[in-house]
Amino acid sequence: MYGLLSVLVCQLFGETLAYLIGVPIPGPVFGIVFFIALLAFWEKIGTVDAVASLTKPAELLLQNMSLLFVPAGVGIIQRSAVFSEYGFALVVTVFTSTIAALLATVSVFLATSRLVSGTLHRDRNDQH
Amino acid sequence: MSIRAGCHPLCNPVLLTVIVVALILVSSGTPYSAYFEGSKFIHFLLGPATVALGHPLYKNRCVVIEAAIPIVVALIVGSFTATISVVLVGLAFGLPDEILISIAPKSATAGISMGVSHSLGGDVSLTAATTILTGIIGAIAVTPLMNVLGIKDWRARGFAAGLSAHGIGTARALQINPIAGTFSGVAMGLNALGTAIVVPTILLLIHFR
Repeated sequence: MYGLLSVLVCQLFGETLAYLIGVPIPGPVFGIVFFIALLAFWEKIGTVDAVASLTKPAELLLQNMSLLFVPAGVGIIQRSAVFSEYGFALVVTVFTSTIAALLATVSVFLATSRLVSGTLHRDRNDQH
Repeated sequence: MSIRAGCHPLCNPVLLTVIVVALILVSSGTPYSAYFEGSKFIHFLLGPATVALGHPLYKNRCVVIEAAIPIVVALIVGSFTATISVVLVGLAFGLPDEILISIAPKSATAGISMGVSHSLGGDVSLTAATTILTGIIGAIAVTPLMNVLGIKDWRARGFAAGLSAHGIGTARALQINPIAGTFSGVAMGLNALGTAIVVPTILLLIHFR
């Protein structure tokens, strides 16, 4: 119960911060940062119980996260007009963009990773 | 049902549930507002679930810090590509502004994409639908695409899956390889932050001046 409360408090802080600085970033995003800080804080202090009580609700929420999308997803029945008018364009747009994002991410990750390990090897050789 | 179908990506549990519930509502003539009244609590939990994303990020911080440079560079490029491509293709199709705003954050996990869409004045239920669609497309495409390209680095494969296709991509990555699953989870968490920053910026720059 303490864990779930902590998650909610992190969200509350996040929402408050987002409201105060007035940026279009959702409160829970700041909540993530508060939550990481809280985990790091408890681990530093060395309270295993506190860390475990935070872990349990977090894992429970994440494991069932896909269920939480359902109410909003069902809302599409109110938007059937949008889908009958733009359905094809929507699907093609989303498809193209998803493939583009996959390709860009994987190639940049690989290229950077090679570049970094190449530099490290050179550094090690230089030291010898 | 999804497990019985051999976890085929087309049998996505979210997609199936949404279709079944939508069919029941439409065939029984129940208004969406009545359904939403009852399911409000489930919807509310998206906020805490988003906050909980901090947990895998923190737990895997060692692996993440080790690959910090490729992660940061791939995050920036991937996040921008996901957003710019959707806006440009959408504009080419002549989609109205409200729809563009609603689909721009589609690669972030639903809690974030809906939050971003809501704060920019988008249509949240359209965002939810396109976010889930993105997840399903990404989860179906990632394995064949990476195999064709001959990419064997599980970190890179997983990171791309999580960045482009959030939780549904991560669930897929976890089925295939644990390292891919971890990096996918990290990418999902980071792109939650990335999308929240990149989408408002891009929309301001490209379109909504």
